[in-house]
Amino acid sequence: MSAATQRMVFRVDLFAGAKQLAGTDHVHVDVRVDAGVDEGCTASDVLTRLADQHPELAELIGSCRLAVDCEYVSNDCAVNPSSSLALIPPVSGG
Amino acid sequence: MSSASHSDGSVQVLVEIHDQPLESLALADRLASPHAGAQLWFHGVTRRTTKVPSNAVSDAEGGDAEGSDPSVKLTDQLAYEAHRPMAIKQLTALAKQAAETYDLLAVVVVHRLGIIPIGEASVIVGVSAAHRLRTFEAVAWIMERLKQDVPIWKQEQYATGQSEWIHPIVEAADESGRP
Repeated sequence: MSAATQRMVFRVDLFAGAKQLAGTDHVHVDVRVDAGVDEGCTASDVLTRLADQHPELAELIGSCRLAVDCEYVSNDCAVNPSSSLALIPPVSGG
Repeated sequence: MSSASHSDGSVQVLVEIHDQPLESLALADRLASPHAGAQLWFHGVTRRTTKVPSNAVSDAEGGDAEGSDPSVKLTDQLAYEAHRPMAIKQLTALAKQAAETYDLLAVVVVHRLGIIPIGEASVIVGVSAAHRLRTFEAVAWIMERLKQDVPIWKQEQYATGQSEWIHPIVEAADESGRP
């Protein structure tokens, strides 16, 4: 890893079908970002790395949203490891 | 139990998540207001049968009895789970938005998690307003938005012994979120 690359590790909470596929209620995602990139790590980066590092979730991830601190975020939203992340599959409450 | 209770001016909002059977009688007085001409309660309950899309029917997924209709799945019970803090936050936001949009006097949204047998309620929504038409519209809107956005999921547990988490792919709502 070069000095210009920043490594961040995110904990992502899992629910329902995602939790069942992963066999656990949370996973960790390792994201490496060029230090010179202004926006740092985005939600899209986390989802992409999540699919790479946890292939059992890859098919479901395409239909999921990412929640940060209990709010849905857009794919280009910057995220940091101190936030609470959750993978939200299509919901079915009610 | 997770809950949030707010009084935003004259509007009463109650949002709760329970792990035990819902008791509608205990909620009855939550909609009371001398300015209300209408109170409306909706109960979403566990249904025994689920229609299978015609392109998904197969002999292997038929009913649990010989000669039964393979286009219908029989449910034993449902199981619900949620991202609890986010669900409370989202439900509270929905309730407040409904109150503002439909001029409601009070809103109650209570959702149950865990195993829910046939015929028992998974969700109770109650609203009150000066006039009845607002209550009909508000309950429909709240349920539509709940089913689109709130991080709660159900698992169908079928009579065959199979189970599956339900993750429907839905069309995006229009910008207003109104049905």
